[in-house]
Formats: sequence, structure tokens, C-alpha cells
Amino acid sequence: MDRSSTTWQGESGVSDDSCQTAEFRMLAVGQRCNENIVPLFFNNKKHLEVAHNHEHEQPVNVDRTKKLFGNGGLIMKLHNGLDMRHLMKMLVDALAKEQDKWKPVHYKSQTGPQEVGGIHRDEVIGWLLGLNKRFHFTPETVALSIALTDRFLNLVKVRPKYLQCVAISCFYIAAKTLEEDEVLPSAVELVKASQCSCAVSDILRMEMIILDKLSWTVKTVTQIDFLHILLESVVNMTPSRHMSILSRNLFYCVANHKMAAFRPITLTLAVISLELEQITPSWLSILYTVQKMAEVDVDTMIRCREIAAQILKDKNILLTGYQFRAVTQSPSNTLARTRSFKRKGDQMEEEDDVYDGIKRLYCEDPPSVAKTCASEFWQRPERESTVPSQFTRAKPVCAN
Amino acid sequence: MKMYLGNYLPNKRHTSTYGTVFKAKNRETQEIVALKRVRLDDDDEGVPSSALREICLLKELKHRNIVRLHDVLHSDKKLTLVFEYCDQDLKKYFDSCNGEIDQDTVKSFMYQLLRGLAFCHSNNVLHRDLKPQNLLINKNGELKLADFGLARAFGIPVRFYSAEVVTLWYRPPDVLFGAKMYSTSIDMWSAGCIFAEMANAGRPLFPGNDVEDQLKRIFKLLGTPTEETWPNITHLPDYKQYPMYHVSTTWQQVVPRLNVKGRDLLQRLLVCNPSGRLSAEEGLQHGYFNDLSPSIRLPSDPF
Repeated sequence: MDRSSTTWQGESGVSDDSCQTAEFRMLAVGQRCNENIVPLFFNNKKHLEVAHNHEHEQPVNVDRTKKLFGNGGLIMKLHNGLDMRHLMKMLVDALAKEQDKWKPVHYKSQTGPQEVGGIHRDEVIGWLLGLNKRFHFTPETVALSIALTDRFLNLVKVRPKYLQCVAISCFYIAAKTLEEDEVLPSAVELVKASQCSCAVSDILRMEMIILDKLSWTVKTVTQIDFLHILLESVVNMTPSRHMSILSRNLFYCVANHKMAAFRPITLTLAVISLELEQITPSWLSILYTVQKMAEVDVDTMIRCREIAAQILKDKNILLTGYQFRAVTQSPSNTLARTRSFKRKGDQMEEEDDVYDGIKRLYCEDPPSVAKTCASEFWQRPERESTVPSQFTRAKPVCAN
Repeated sequence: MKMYLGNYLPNKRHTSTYGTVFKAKNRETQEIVALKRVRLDDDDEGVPSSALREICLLKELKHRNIVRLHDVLHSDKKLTLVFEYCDQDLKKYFDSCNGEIDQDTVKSFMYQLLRGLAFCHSNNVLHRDLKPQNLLINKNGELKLADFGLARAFGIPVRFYSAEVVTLWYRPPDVLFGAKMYSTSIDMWSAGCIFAEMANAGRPLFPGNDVEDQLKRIFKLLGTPTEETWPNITHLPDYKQYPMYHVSTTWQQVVPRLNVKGRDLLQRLLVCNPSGRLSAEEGLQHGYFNDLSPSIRLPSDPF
């Protein structure tokens, strides 16, 4: 198998300045390591091995994973009082809810004059995102509004002229459900602030229609919910920093109608992997496990990642979320840089481990590592079973 | 569709945070239900947020210690929530006790309260308005958490929530000081207050008149918290200095009929510093419940 060619072809949406990217990744790895990231799911080697012994069998199902993590005796209190078992339960519950309620929505790109198409939908979602900012509501609120809008549009044929009314009513329902009473606007204030074309009575009538059509099942699992759970599962990270970058990227993707066809968990994994998977291998194992658990197939994952990468590339933001520092060394000489890091002290050694972990993972030389796009990882399921053991091994040779 | 014969009980049974509740019978199944009516006319808010939250949350919280929402019906001007029927609430139960309550009943109710609460919390729901009026008792002695009008989902990350929650007497000191960042501990304080009230056959533990009086009553019993016993207390939004009360009453004086283990459980719930309060799950495993009647415990319960 020609791995390097897959790697290079699989490269979608990475900055065209490969040297910069390489440098960025090096720094990012350093940053992560200094924060001492340990994925809680895998901070026990035994778990790792158990988790991956199953891979030759059936896909990891929810029950099994629950057993694996839930009763592992791995109960660590996190800063907000949630322990790992609780987090795992949240993930399992969220996946069950997603399976129960989520349906793909396919928007047409070409529509008749009386039909809502992808462009209409994206326009109105963009408007909702602006409204959410204006009211200082949480990301959960707008994510729920978008999910409700998609669900309703999937159930009912709506004419474009009513679309704004549908969207703002979904927004109002989401806000009432998730925001506190003291920050809730009245319907009159909402109409005024949003400058939408419909009247208060239209919104209230539409609210009832929507609730009725959705059988009063408002709570829907969104991408933001999954993002929180996955981010929380990594200790000693600064969740707010990652959260702001990742949720921004997620919303860019959610705002695109093509993404309504993908499950929230798939999109969340795709967005996280595009941003983080390549810089910390600990993420790789988590994403991998969750992907298995959620039964997201590899092809879907790749497709979702490609579209997400394209959307983010169009926004010119992929991989720019982290601070980029210019470096003076020859950019292609990444090996030299690894050594220079080593000389700085013992604490740097760990970072080499992580970096080498990536190298070993792809069995590649340093310059190609820079180019490694993680989509390659998803493309080769037959190699997956060997992946995690790489991380448990001792320091690889090339670091010395 | 309208199989419910409404309005059998002419007097209001229960006034919730919104709407009124009536007893009714399902024409098809003969099942007795409780109907909560919410008027929607002349109001520009549409479905009240409290009703919407209650519906959303209760649709997902199915547990024997949480009141079951069977159905939501709506006509032009009103919304009707169809609940399982319970004979009375804990407040009415107290009234019928005439100052005498069986301590085994207290244990049973407290266990069921904690079990319902543990279920809410493990499903990431805060009740935020626990009080005897919101705990329903059916004729089999089953206790059910009701009125989720102030409840909300919580999760990751911890966010700022409203400090305007929980009826004064059952409101924890951190929220009385304006704390907006709270979690499940908010309900645990209320559970402690209700526990003491049950043990005393309906005499409220801290019947304050206003926020200041409420805090004074709490501190007189538990001692005034300091930066040592409760780090960062002085940074709470509405923090005010209170006199340094020294504990002069013993727990035995406060809840004379409660046994030693019960008093221990109560003390672990009524902790001013929210991070020191017992969780519902931990409460269920407390030694006080060791001799609980097996008929109340479920096979899946922790022992």
C-alpha cells in the first residue's frame, strides 16, 4: 500500500504553506503536552488494551462500551463535580437520543419558487446565529433552534415566505426551553430586535404548530452537546479555549445545509478531528472509540470530514484557531527542531513522545508527518487495531 | 381525542407555578388523571416558558418517584397537561397528621425523595423548587416529585443560572447570597429542609420572612460561615456580613424524634458550603436507610 500517496491525496483543506503547518503542529504538540493532556477514557493502559482487543469482533456497541467504561472503577471527580461514569452515561444517553430522534435532512440546491432550498435554509440559519449573539444566548440555544428548524422543515413543506417565521419561532421555543426567564425577551421584543417580517401573532401561532408537529419533543441532541461531552473527557485541558475554536468551526458547518444530512455526532467528530486529531494522538484514540461506539461508518466519516474541511477552508479558518508563532529554523528540518526541543529540558521529552507517536502511527518520516491528514486514519480501518498500541509503547527509536 | 371528563373537583386542588390542576377521568380507560390547565389568551408570550420546560423535561424523566406526564392537549386558548393522579401533596399530608408522624413513614418518604432526585440529577435536571407542596403522595404511600416549572437541564459547562429560584424557606445559603453558579447541591439543601420538616410532622425548619431573616435563622442553627469554613463566600454577589452566631441548639433539640443516623444524614445535607453537601446518590446509601422496609427499596437500588 502506498501510504504516502494516500496521505498526500487525503490532504484536504490544510493550509497550502506546508512549512507553516508543520511548524504550527510542532508548537501545538508542545502546548498540549505542557498541559499534560491525558484522556480520561484511556488513562489506564488496561482499558486501552481491553478496548482494542474487541476490535476484531463486532463493532463496539453501546452496551459493551458502557460496561467497559462504566464499571471500570475509574471514577474521577472533574472540576464541575461530574465523574467519568457520569460523562460516559451522558454520552451513551446522548447517542441513544440521537438514534431515537434524529433524521437526516436533504435540502435541494435547485428548487421551484414555492420550495425551501439549501440557500434559503442557510440564509435563515445565518440570521439565527446573528440573533443568538445579539441576545447573548448560549451556543446550546442556537444549536437547538437550528435542529428544530431542520426537523420541522423535514416534516412540513414550508413556502420560502414563511421560512423566517418558522426559524424565529424555533428560536423562541429553544430560548424558552434553555434560557433563564430573566433574559427571555417577550415576543414583542423579539419581533422588534430581529426586524423579522412577521407579526407577534404569527410567531405565537407558528410556535403552536411547530410544537404540535414535533409532538412537544423539543429536546434534541445537538453537535454542541456532543462537543461538551467529548471536550470534558480530556483532563487538564483549558476547555474554554478549545470550546471557542471548536464551536465556532462547528457553527460554520452547521450553518451549511449539506451538514443537515449528517448525524450530529458525525459532524462533531469530523470538526474535532480536523482541528485536534492531528496534533494530539490522545484525541485520536478517543475519537476512534466514540466513532465505533456511535457506529459511524468510515465512508460517512470521510465524506463529512471532506465537506467540513471545504466549508472551513472557504471561511479561510482551518487550523488557524491556534496561535501561530514564526520560527527561524529551516522549516523543512523538523527533526532538527525535535532535537532542539529536547535540549531545553526534561519536560520537553514528553512532547517528543507525542510527536513520535504520530510518526509511528503513520510509519512516516518527519517531513511527511507535517502533511499527514488524519482522514487517512479513517480510511484504513484494517490498521485501526494497531493504532492504539502505538501510544502505550515506550519511546520510539527515532527520538533518540 | 378529548377523552377526559374535566372539572370533577370544583375546588382547585393545587396551584402550581402556572395554571390550575383538576381531577378528571379518562373516558376510555377509566383512569383517574390530574389535568393542569394553562390559559394562553391575552398574553403575548405564547406557551409559558415554565410550561414548556416542564413538558420537555417530564417527557424524558420517567421514574416511579417523578410524576408522570401522560399527554399534552391543546385547543385554541388553552393548553392541558395530563398527569398521573396523586391524592395529596406532602403539605396536605402534614395537615392530616395533627403533629404526629410515624418515623418509618419519614424514612420511606425521604428515601423516595432522594431516589427521585438522584434520577433527576443523573439525567442532568435540577428541580430548583423542592418544597412539600411539590411532593405528591398517592394512596400507596408513594412519593413523587412534581411541578417542574422552575426546573432546568444542566450540563457541561457549568453556566450561570438564575438566583431567583427555590421558595425562600427551602433556598440554600449560597443562592440566598445571590450565587448563580450552582449545581445539584441546590436541591440537596431543600431536601434537607424537607427532611427536618417531615421529622417534625410539618413544622418548617427555617420559616424566614425575607432573605435576611432566612439567613439569620440558618446561621443561628448552623453557625455563621467564614472564609475558612466556606472559601470565597465573601465573593458571592449579594454577600453581606452577618453576626457570628455560635451554635447553641443541638440537633437533638431541632429534630427530637429523629434517630442518631437520621440526624447525621440531616447534618450532611444542611451544609452551608454547597460543595460540602451530600449528593442524592450518596444520601441513598446512608446508614439511616439500612433498616428501610424492603418493599420500598427497588431491586436496582444501591444498598
